[in-house]
Amino acid sequence: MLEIKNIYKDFGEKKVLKDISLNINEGEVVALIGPSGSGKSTLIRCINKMEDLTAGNIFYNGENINDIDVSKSIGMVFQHFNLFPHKTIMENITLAPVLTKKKTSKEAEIKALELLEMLGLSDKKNDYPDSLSGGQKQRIAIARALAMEPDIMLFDEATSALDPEMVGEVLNVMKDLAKQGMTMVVVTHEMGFARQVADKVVFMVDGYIMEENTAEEIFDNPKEERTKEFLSQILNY
Amino acid sequence: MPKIISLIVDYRQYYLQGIRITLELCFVSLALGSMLGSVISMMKLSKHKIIRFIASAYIELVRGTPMMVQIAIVYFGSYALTGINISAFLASVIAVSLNSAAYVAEIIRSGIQSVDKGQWEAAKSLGLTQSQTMRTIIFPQAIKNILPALGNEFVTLIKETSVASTIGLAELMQATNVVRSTSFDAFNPLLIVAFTYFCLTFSISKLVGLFEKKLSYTNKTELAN
Repeated sequence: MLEIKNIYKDFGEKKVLKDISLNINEGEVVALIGPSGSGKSTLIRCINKMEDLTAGNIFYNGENINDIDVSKSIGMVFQHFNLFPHKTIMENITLAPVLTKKKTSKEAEIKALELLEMLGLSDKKNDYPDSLSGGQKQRIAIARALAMEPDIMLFDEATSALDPEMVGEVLNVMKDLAKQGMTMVVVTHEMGFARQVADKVVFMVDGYIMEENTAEEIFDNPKEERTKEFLSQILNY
Repeated sequence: MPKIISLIVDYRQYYLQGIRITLELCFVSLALGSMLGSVISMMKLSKHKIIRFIASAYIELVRGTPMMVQIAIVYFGSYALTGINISAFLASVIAVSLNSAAYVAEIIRSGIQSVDKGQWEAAKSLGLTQSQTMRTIIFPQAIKNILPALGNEFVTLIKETSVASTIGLAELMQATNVVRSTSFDAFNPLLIVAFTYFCLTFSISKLVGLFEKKLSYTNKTELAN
């Protein structure tokens, strides 16, 4: 479904991604883990063209992403939610489907209500984002992305900015999505989630993919010294 | 004190007309300046280096020269260059608008840049075009920073347009000059005009302040809902 082929990304002098290749199949949940500054977020941002590639190509269903409108098929959830503060929850969710002419406002509202229902946030539909908790905001952000009916969802440290007690509600939504067969690429520091939900775990260091394997293999039987070191640092707490 | 009151009473027509012309000049110039300023701010935020350079050059040039010189250049330059004689009011409107546009451009630019970059990214990820993003997401948020700053620009203009007296426009300062020469009182009319300017600017900045509170109040009711 998604083929990442030998991509490089520089920010000026700084080389952030170095020769990354990765295949993501339909229905697969891929977790990107690694120390901060390893290029996980940049990689995920390259997939939906938030960043331009310095070299290499990314193909979506065989088509180069540079030739297509990825926003139609790839949704994204950000660390800091990025909800539109001057719009109600309902408007946040329906804005893009209507503006991009994917739906009439009536259809968009029906879809939005469905999503809110699913997330248990129907009563918030006329509220503004600032009145919501972090966990609720992030769930709304997920609904907003889902309203565009993407085939792939990208999560860029979706729970990193949340208070600890709110991490669970967001992870649960992500878990449900995974169960429904959504293709997902998840940058995360939640190792428990990665282990439980991911089909494939990719460990990145310094802009390289150090190790890529099933969740079980990565966590129980890491091959690389660097992976072992990283996991022991994280899991010992 | 009785001297001042009798000056005000005797020459009220001059003062009233002066206030009217000052306010008209400021209002028209700010309106025109805002339109031109929006265009310049867009140019300043452009991706193209040359367009950005033109906008920056304009802003720097206008901010780096006195308004008195700008007004004189427009007034006398229009005749020298085209042979057309324009009125002092028109010359002042043109000069003050061009001047104000540079300041308004910076106000709008900083208002737009104060909106979190994440808003652009979210809109992009949802497939909104640049102009849709600007119109529906960025600008409505930026306007809360822009409007109060525009009010302050209006206050600045009220004071600065006093230099239009140098080309003979019958605005408040020129009215004062007329009163000074006809009444043979060089000092008291200045006190009157200072007080008048102060009343105008003070009341308008208070209004701007109220307006600002109102804007943040809507934010809070949004919070409470």
